Amino acid sequence: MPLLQVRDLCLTLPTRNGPIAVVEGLSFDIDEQDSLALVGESGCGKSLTALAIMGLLPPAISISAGSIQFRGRELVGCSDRQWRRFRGGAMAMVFQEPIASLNPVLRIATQIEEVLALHGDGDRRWRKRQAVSLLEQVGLPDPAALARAYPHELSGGMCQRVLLAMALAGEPDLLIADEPTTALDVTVQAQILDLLIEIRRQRGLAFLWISHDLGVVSRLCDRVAVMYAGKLVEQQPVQTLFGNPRHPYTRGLMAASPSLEQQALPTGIPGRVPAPEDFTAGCRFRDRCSQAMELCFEDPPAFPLESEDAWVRCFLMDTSATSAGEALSNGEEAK
Amino acid sequence: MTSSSPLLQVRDLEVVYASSSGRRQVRALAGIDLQVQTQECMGLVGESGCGKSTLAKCLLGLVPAQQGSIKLSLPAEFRTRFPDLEQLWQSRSGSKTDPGLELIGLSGKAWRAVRKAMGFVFQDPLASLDPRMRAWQIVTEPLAMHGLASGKALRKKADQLLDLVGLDTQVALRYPRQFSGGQRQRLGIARALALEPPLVICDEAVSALDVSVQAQILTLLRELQQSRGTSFVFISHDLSVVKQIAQRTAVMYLGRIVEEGPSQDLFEDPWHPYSRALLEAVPQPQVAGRERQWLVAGEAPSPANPPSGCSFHPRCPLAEDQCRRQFPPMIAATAPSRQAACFQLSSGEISQ
Ligand SMILES: Nc1ncnc2c1ncn2[C@@H]1O[C@H](COP(=O)(O)OP(=O)(O)O)[C@@H](O)[C@H]1O
Ligand SMILES: Nc1ncnc2c1ncn2[C@@H]1O[C@H](COP(=O)(O)OP(=O)(O)O)[C@@H](O)[C@H]1O
Ligand SMILES: [Mg+2]
Ligand SMILES: [Mg+2]
Repeated sequence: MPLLQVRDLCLTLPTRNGPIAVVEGLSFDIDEQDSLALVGESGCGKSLTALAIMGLLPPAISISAGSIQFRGRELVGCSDRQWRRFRGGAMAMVFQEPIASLNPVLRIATQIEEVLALHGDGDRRWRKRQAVSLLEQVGLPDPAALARAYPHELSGGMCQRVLLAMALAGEPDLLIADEPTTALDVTVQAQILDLLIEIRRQRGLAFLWISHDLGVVSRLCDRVAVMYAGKLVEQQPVQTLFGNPRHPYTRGLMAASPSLEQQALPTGIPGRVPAPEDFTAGCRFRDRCSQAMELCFEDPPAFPLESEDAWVRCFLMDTSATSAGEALSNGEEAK
Repeated sequence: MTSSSPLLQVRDLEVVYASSSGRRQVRALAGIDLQVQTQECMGLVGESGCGKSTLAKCLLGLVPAQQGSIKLSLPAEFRTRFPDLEQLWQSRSGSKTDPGLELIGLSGKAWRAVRKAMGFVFQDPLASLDPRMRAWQIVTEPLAMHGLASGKALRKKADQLLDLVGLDTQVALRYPRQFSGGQRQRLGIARALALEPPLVICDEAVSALDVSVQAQILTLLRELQQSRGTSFVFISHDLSVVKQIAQRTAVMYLGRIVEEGPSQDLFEDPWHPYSRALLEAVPQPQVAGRERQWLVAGEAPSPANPPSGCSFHPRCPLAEDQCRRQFPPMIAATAPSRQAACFQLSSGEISQ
């Protein structure tokens, strides 16, 4: 049984013109100690997916279909109280804006102790010691002094470590991270990624990691799911995805990503992600895709790839179709 | 081109801020030397707080310098388009042997004339655009402000500018909030280019954008550089972006430039331990055997309380006694022309 199983998840936003699905038909698994990256341009629905799993969706948006199972236990339909038992416990999340995620008027120690108390761990004295110990585990210097500090006295990198300490307080099995290092300097980012790799090794944590930085993803994750306009379009192990991206969108993202290895300027993807109210049937990338064909007005199924649990939703992968002309033969060559 | 004087010549530039309490002083720039040639893109990298934005603002006359010199050598074709700039030039610029207009000490009025020659694009596209102005008004604001065009001519110019940055002229009547982040950044760039300035200063201008849009904007900047000969000072915390867009790169640490050279050479074989640390920190796949020996711990110290000697010494794996006592001199090489400030370079600890 996977640690987390998401099936046909659909997130809906009510509008004057009726409900629109901002995330649609999303399915993926995360096993124990597994790490899955969710990548894609902004507005594709990555953050909402993470929030849905945590039971923290904004009030306007609701789960209209599908299932989210954690260790076989269905979360969709749970009361907020039930969800809270998982959140900060077996599942924890860290966000992009570390400073905004902390309560500005409470000392750091108090905020960590609150999380510990929420899980009913130990007495007050134990919680005090545990808070300092957690700060030490996330590599903060002078944790005892830091415990008494307020968030504004800390740098962004230190705040992110504190949030990580809070996330670890509930001894989670799954850590969901939404661009947690994007706002940090590259030096501090490297330190935090190293720390996460070490923590993961020690504790056997599983990750759901949201990032637009393919470098970060390649360093941290085993598998990658690519999201476009509310749907997953490709999923592959990290090595094969980087070595052989199959979906034209994935290829576009890679060609657009700046890299130290490359000499030439990256190339952009023309156009932009449609807004949810403009979502259509068929492949949603077709308007930006140089290889789009008539067939793309239909929904592409998931074509399996060589590696286990790897697939791509693109008709270029359909080796059985014969009518698609030139674009198709390119696809066959790639395969 | 190489024999002529650089477009921008910065010498020993120092900026000191009074802290909010007024008690402490923050030496945000502690003696910057920098040259930007015509049609060159100079990248500026370093951790936050090292003074990149302060340098950008100082070049634009938006924060005063305590000390130092900024010389701007404007091409005559540009100057003569603006009577006030030409007049300023005639009265203030240097001799034949040392041409260029000294910007430090200029009056507010003179700065306004000079700023026509310098476009700037800052990070936050929404904050830097007036929400009540329409797209066409935003991009032509500098032209209107300097009374260079009005009426029909202004609208026509707006269409040209929108077209230049790859925006449909149909969007001319929209307000900033009706644009996506990438489109707003394009508006900012169009406005910066309205007067066709020979120098454009970009401070984290593409940092908040998706890579798909970022790449488009980098391509646009490169095209301008090639077609108009525009020079750029390009600030970014993203080293990969700087490597790809900038011909030369300067690495800043705590108010100083610690290394400078052609991007190609600097990124392939960085001299300064700090440059090495920055490069090693760029996330890449974990490869067994790829040793990371330069990675720094902790964060950069505050310029309000800088370490003695070489300000990098507390984080430097090579630091010795001398480094704690004295700031190292710049060690320069020619062909390729590059330089770094580190004692270990002269002692041969680091190969040049
Ligand atoms: N609270 C909300 N109300 C209405 N629409 C929202 C809300 N939050 C997000 N959206 C919309 O849902 C889509 C997906 O958003 P998000 O999950 O934040 O994308 P990502 O994290 O991939 O950038 C976007 O089009 C966004 O505008
Ligand atoms: N207006 C100001 N008043 C006081 N200190 C400032 C001001 N602006 C910047 N600083 C300080 O100057 C230093 C350099 O800042 P900045 O130029 O913004 O760096 P960067 O752009 O490289 O992040 C920092 O320590 C910052 O706190
Ligand atoms: Mg998001
Ligand atoms: Mg800055």
